[in-house]
This record gives sequence, C-alpha cells and structure tokens, in this order.
Amino acid sequence: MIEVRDVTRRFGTFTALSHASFGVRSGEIVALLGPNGAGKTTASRLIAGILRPTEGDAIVGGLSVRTDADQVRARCGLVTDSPALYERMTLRSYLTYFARLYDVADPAPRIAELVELMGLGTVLDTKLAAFSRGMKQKAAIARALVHEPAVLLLDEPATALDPEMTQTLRELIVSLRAQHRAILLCTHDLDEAQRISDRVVIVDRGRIVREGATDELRSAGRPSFRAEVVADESTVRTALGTAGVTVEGISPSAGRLEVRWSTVDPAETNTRALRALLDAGARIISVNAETRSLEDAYLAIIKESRA
Amino acid sequence: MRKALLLARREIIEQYSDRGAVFRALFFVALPVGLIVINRGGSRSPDILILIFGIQAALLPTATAVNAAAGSFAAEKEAQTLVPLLAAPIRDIDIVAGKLMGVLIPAAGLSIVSLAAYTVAASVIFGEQRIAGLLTAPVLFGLFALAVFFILTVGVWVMVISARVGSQRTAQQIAGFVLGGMIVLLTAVGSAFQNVSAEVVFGLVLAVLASDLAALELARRFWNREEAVARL
Repeated sequence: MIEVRDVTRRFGTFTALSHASFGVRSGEIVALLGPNGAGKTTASRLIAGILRPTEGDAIVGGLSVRTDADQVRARCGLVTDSPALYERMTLRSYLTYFARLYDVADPAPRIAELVELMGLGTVLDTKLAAFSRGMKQKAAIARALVHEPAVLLLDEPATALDPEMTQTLRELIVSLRAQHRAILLCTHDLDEAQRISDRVVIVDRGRIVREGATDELRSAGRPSFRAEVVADESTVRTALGTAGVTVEGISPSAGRLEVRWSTVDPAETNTRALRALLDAGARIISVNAETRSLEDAYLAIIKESRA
Repeated sequence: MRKALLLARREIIEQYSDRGAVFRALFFVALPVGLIVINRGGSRSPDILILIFGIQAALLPTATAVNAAAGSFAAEKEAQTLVPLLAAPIRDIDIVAGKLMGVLIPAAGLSIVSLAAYTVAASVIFGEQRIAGLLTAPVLFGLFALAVFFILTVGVWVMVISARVGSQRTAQQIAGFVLGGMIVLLTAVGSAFQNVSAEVVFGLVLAVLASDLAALELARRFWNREEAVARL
C-alpha cells in the first residue's frame, strides 16, 4: 500500500531524509523508529502528500506523491503528536468540516460511527477547547479516520497521553489493522512499537539503518544466557575460562551468583559451561535464555550505525 | 471552489467567535461616523471633508481584514492546525482563495455597513440634498469597489508573508506595518481629492485593481504547501 522508493528530502542544505526505501502493506503496522530529528516526521509528511521528495518517489495505493498528491492525500489519514484542533468548534462541526474537505458524501452517519468508536458520543456538541488532552487526541484520530482512509499515518500519537489512554489508543490502532489499513506508526516509544507493530524500520540521521520484523530484530545478534549458581566468583571464572566460555558479567544476588554469557552456538557452549561449573563443584539453580527487548536491539542498531 | 468556500466560512466563524474581533469591527465602522460628528461645521464644512471621511468609511473596516490576514496562516501554524489542513485533499489555490475570501467577505460587508452608516449620519448633519449630490451612487459604488480591491491587495501581501513567518506576533507586526502604509495612503487619497471626485475614485479603483493582479500573481507563484509546511 505504501512504497517509499529511494526518497531524499532536503530543506535548504539540511538533508532530513536520505535515500530512504521501505514499504507498508495493507493490514500491517510498521513502526518507524528513530531518535528526535531522525526524519520520521518528514517521512510521514512525504507519504501524506504534504511534502514533495527532492529525489525518489513515494507510492500510496498505486499513486505517486509527486504527480497525484491530491489523490494521495485523499487516501491518507494523518495524526500528529499534537491534536491540532480548531478549538472554538464543537466536535460535530469539526468532524463535519473535515468530512466535507475529504468529500464524504454523507458525514452524519460516519461521524456517529466514529464518536461511538472513540467513546466521544456524549461530547459531540461540546467545544473542543473543553476537551481533555486524551479526548482531543481521540478527536484528532476521528478526524483522520473520517474519510475511511486506506493508509493511516500516526506521528507520535501517544505523546502526553496517560497510560490508560495509551492502552485505549493501542487497542484502537490494532483494531484498525484488522480493517486492512496500512498503518505507519512514527514513534520513539519502543514499548509501543514492540507491542503492536508487525515490522520495524529504524531511521537515524535521515537514513534507514535497519528494517525487519519486530521479532527478528529482537532476536538478532548473539543470544545470551543467564545462570544462577551457588559458588564463589573465582571458581566460576576459572571454570568457565577453562571451558572457553566468555563471561559477560557476574553479579551477586541473594547469596547466589548471576553469571551471563553469550554465544552463537548455544548447544555446544552451554553444555561446556554447565559441565565446567558442575565439575568445579558449583550448584546450578537455573539457566535461562535472556530475551532481548526491542529497546536493546534498537540501541545496539543506533550505536552500530553511528560507529 | 466549494472547498474554498468551506474554508472561508470556517475562517469567518473563527474570526468573529472572538468578542474582541467584533468590538474592533464595530469600532472601525463607528469611527468615520464619529469623525464627521466631531468635525461637523454645518454648511461651512467643505465638500472635500465629507468625501475624505467617506473614503475612510469605506477603507477603515479593511483594517480588520489586514489583522485577520496576518493571523490566518501564522495563527494556524502556532496552533499547529495547519498540518491537518494541508494534509487534506485541497488544492493550494483553494487554500489561498478560501483564506482570502474569509478575510475579504466580512471586511467587504463591514465596508458596506460603514458606508451606509456614514451616509445616513452625514445626511442628518449636512442635509439629505447636499449628501445626495456628493455621495452619489457611482461614488459610493466606487468607494466600495476601492475597499474590496484594497482588501484584496493587502490581504494577499500580508497572507503570503505571514505564511512564511514563524509566529503570529511577527505576522501582526507585518500587519501593523501594512496598516501604517494604509494610513499614509488614506492621507494621499485625501490630498488627491482636492480637485476631482468620482474620476479620482475611478482612477484609484483601477490602480488598486492593477495592484491586486500583481498581488494575486505573487500568491500564485510564492504560496504553496511545501513552503508553509517546511517552515513549521
């Protein structure tokens, strides 16, 4: 549904996005991750048809943002970090206004459906200025969905929302995926991305530095293991050193030791490590594979890209 | 055009949902009437004074338009409401036209009210017959046309510039600068009225129309989504 093809965008001498390529399929949530100023917002605005690429092209539903920007805009719904509402309007007049801008033939039933979905039915005729931050963000999402777009671009949508509202938003985004929309979630909230995205694109300093399925990224690199043992530290170090296992860390924990190592060949290395520990008289309480969080993967990728 | 009208309607509601804006508009409508009342000298008041105040009655309400034009893009930028608008399927020309109509229509309406109020007040003070001879239908129409074209010129210039500045405050400073220019122009127009009446108004209308064409060409060339959003 979205294909970003070798897109570069410059603002004067500053390159906000450089030769970026990635895609989002229908019914998929792709998280565009990156630190502040990495180029996420520029990417979302390019796809939304607000900005033109300096080089390359972005195709949305088969339409080019270069040549068919107006039609691209009609297919996209954009939510920004700030709700950006006309606060003197009521929710009803605001949604009706945008429905008409998006050529929705009969706005009333669509608006009724959206406010029901967002839980805003009781405040339909209330001025937006009186809304809480969370309600305003819901109104912004309703605005983005008023024309039933095939593509939803969410640029830091959970900024300043409380945990309960964030959870509601998360559920809503997942439900929109089920409606076969292509969703691009620009965020630096790794927890959010880890929970709901199918794939992750990591951007840093305007360049795409990694792209892949969320689980793939998390499991990429050398898997690491943690053993809880009862023994003294020097015995453990000597035993594992003799067995050729590179210890990454030993830390005392409630009269025991937590020993960590990583390996590309767990079957071979772990067997040697455990045998060496048992031979040295250590008692083994548990051995666990350590799960790498998306945050660990992200930080490692960013560090690697900057090296 | 339908979307431009939609945009204009929202702009007008937005502008006049602020009580301060309503009072400002009423002030500019009342000002020429007040001036003619203060400067009344009965039959001794020269015709030129009545005509100068007539020009002011037509043009003073345009000051509200200058302020609104300055705020139209800059205020939206500050409130960050411009991005959702630019993300909607509206052509650049419809955005500019909608914003311009949002400025032009209420100011033109105020100009009509102001001219009508002024004509009634002047008729009461100087006599119906004298005012009917001075503020003839072509003169009144000319003054109204002058006001409309004037709003168009200043509206476009201020709007194009305000789309390129970062804050409403800067935009208002630009509006202030344009208003200053407007006062100078009003004075110059007053001087030009020393000799002729309807012909001068017609000439002014043509001059301002030429300026409008230049301003609209400027808007067409220099205003675009890219420029507005790149500066957000």
